[in-house]
This record gives sequence, C-alpha cells and structure tokens, in this order.
Amino acid sequence: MTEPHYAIVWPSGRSVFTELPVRERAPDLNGKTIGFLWDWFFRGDELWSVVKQELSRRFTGLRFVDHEVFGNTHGRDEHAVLDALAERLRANGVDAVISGIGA
Amino acid sequence: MRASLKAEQAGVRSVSVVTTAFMAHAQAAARGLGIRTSAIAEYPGVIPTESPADFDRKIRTLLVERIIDGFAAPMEAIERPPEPAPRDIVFRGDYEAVQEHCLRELWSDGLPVTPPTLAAVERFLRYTDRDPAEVLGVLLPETRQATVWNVAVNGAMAGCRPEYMPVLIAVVEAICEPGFHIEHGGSTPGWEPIILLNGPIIGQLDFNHGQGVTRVGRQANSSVGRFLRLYMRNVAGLRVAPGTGDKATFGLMFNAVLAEDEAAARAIAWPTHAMERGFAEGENVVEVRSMHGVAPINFTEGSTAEPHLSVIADKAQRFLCDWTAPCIYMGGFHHLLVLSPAIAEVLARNGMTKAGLRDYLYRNARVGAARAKAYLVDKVEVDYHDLVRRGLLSPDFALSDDPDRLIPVLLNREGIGVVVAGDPGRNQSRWYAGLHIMGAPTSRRIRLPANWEALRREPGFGGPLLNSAAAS
Repeated sequence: MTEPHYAIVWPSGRSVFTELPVRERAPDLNGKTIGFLWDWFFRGDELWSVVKQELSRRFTGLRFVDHEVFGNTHGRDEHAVLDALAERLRANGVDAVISGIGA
Repeated sequence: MRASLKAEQAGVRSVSVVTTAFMAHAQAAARGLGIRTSAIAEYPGVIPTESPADFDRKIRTLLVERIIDGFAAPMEAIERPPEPAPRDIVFRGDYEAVQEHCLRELWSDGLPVTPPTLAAVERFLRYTDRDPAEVLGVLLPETRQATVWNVAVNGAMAGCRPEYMPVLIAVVEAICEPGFHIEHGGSTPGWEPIILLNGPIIGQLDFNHGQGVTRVGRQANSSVGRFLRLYMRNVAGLRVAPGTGDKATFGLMFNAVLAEDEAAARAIAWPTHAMERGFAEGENVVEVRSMHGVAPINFTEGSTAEPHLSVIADKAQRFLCDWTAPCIYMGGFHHLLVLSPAIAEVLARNGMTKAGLRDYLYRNARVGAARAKAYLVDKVEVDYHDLVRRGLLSPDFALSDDPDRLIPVLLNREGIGVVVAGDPGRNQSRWYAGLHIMGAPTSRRIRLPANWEALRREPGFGGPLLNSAAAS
C-alpha cells in the first residue's frame, strides 16, 4: 500500500523590515562625539568607563555623552526613551553611539 | 538592537555590544530590524560572573577593537532570501518526509505536525469570513506579517480543528498588540504565554474548564495552546537552538488554554474574568498573558473565608515577593490566581466578591521594602518615594523611610487576575506569576463568521467528545 503524499505550504509570514540606507562608516573617530545607550544591565556603566578610556588613547578630540542623558533603553520607559532618542542625539551633537548590553 | 535601530534611523552610526552567548540572537534580531550585522561587537564571556580583572582586560584588549571595527566596517547589504507566496507549494513528500523537512526548516516545535496542505488550510478558512490576505499585525523579532492565511497554516500544523479558527485569529490579534510586547518574547526568563478564554465558545468548541483544565488532554485546550507557541516560532521568529530569537535560559512547555468555569462564576454572582476586563456578559473573549512560574498548589479548608484567604495571601507573599521590585522597575504587574469552584463558592458564601478578594490580597501579602529590592540585579534600582511622588506607585510603598517597613507584594489590586476553573470537587487554588510588561494581559473579542450557527450544525463540529458524558 502506498503512503499518502502531501504538498505543503509555507508557515511563516512575509518579511517587511525596512532596510536602512547605506551610509559611510566611520573608521576615523578623531574629533567625534560618541554617545552610550544602556539598558541598565550587565555592568554597562563600568564597561563604558573603560571604553571611554581606551577610545581616548586611540583617538584625539573625542567627546562623550553618557547614558543618563538618553535614559534607560530597557526599563518601564523604554518606548518613551526610544521615541525621544533621535532628538536627544541631535541636541547633543552625537556622531556615533555604542549601545548595550545584549547579554 | 531596537535602540541601535532608532539611532541609525536618526542618521547616527551605531555599534551594539553583545556577549558571546547572544551573538546569534543579536544577528537574527538585527536582520529582522534591517541592521547590518557588522555593527555588533562581541564581548567574549558571561559578564555577570566575570572577575573585575578579566572584565577590564577583555574590554581593553578585545571589545574596544571590535567596537572600532564595527564603526569602520563596510555596510554590507542585508540578505533577503526569496519568500514563497502563501499558496506556493514548498515541499512534497509522504508523512515522514514532511516531518523531516519541517524539522530541518525549523517549522516544527519538535513534535509531529499535521501537514499544512492547501486543502487543510482551506478547511480552516471556512470558519472565518475575513480575507485570508488580511494582515493582523507585524511580529518582532523577524518583522513578519501575521495574516489570516498563516494563522490557518499554523492552526492546521498544530493539530487544531478548523472550527477553532476564530479563536486562533483572536489570539494572534492579541499578541500583535504593542502592549503585549512580543519583542520581549525571547527574553531570558523564558516566559510562556497562557490563553484565557471566556464566552459561550467554551462549550461550543468543547474547551475544558473543569478537572485538569490546564493539563494537555482535551483537543481544544491542548492544540490551541500549542498553536500559539508554534506561531511564535514560525511567524514571530522566536526559536530556541538550533534556531535563534529565543534566549530563554530554561523555558517552559506551552500552556493549555485556561477556560473559565463561567457557570460556577454565575452561580455565585461573580463576574467572569472577561467581564472584569470590560467585556459584556456572554461575549467570546481571549486574553493572552505571560507566565513564568506556577506556584505549588494551595490546599485550603474551612467553611469560612479566612482560612482560605490567609493561605492564599501567604503563598503570594512567599512565591511572588521576589518579583515585586522588578515589576515596579519595569512598570507592569499581572499575577493570576485560579480558584477551583469549591474555593470560590466558600468565599462567595461568606460575602467575598472578586474585588474584595483582590483587596484582601493586596493588603495582606507583604514584604520588607529593602528585602524586595534585594531581588533586583545589576545596576537596576527602585526608588519607592520617587515613584510615589511621580504618581507611578501607590503611597502604600512609601509610608516611611524605614527599610524594613512592609510594602505590598502585589503592586495594585487591578493587576491581580482571578479566574474560577478546575475541578469543582477539590479545595485548591494556584498562583501564576506574570512577567511585568512582557506579555502584558491583552484581550481580544473573538469575531465569529456570519454563518457560525450553520457551521455549528454540521456533523462533527467541535469534535467527537463534544457534549460527551466525559466532559466536566
């Protein structure tokens, strides 16, 4: 006796993410303003302190904007913090951000 | 990653710091958000258990270089593999071959799936008058469309009966709501959604609300519960290894649907759970909420209310106190108490309403203020007085500055869900711990097709055990 055969369809859904525009990367951080976005977990404040020291040894003229300026990216106010982020980045002249900690 | 996305959308370059164990997860999340995966810098290790010396060394010698590389790396294009159209046949084979294929493609939850053929899907579509192409929402982390069609596909795969389709659609609508926070569906506490069900549909589709209500065994409760986890895997993209997206440290088995014993609630003049959520009596409603732990059973006895109440409050105090401060921190709270009809009846007989029960539990389940904060991890902090001043917490949490003062374990009365279900012949109740804002309780009205009553009269509707003597 032959087994029945099945022709099946795809169980997932159409991917609808928006691809971000291609932009210049930043190999040269000299003179740049770097912000830190933090979720208040995993010793991110200690990590940021060391990162700032090391980046300052490698590049000149750096300016840093600490995480308190932006707010907690994971807590009760996550959505509000992220909604306000663009404006806070602009207001503080941030050129690049380090975001963490995924762990 | 969501913060990085916002920065990138604002035209600011970003690099995300992620530990080794989360790299695959982060790369999957990044792809789902349209972020180049080169913008992820790996910290090699487990930060919470790292010695200060190793932590410092790894940052200075490894992480900083990776951060710099992340800023300097060329912007590679995000691969978009071709996707089948809904009705495309993606595989042909016998039953065994279909199972192997679904396992390989990570479309399976590890259990055999019913092959989702076009005929199987069409059978589900008979039980809705909504367009199969209708988009119910978009689910993170993979940013994929939830549609009526793929609800039917996954319903078939999960072993649901086609007539469950209106329930399945409502469940997916619920998890698509922003307030449900599906984006946290892969978080490490490994919460599992549980579906609460109210309305005449319980009896119409033979959902169990009595003895063994949340045990697998009744087709409706079991398969609809399985459907939700399968859907979260296949459409939201929440998969444990060898997949990505789900970083549950341990995880939980999918939950069978918890249907309320509405007759028992009516008999004691208690509102049903859906009525307390603002729906009219007799409406068909699903609610989806997270749970990340079940307390041991409360065995209580006595013909007055107090012996039952004191034990239930004590269990809340002992089982839920470590989540008081995290819930305050995250700004959300929803624990669920399930009472067997016998317990609900004795409470009601002694004048207790659901609201009165909540009030008793809120006032009597207590924990020391400082002790509650001891359960917070890392740099997370809770300032009770500040939150009270901002109107985000009841003044009951800041009646003094004494760190040993007692504060409520349960943040407020409204967040205590009460459902009557389970064996009516047993004197038991049970707490389910919800996970703050993650999987916040989200209710949806179930929309039935116009011809629902005609469909109900068709042979076989509801299954072979519908209205059987075995049903409780």
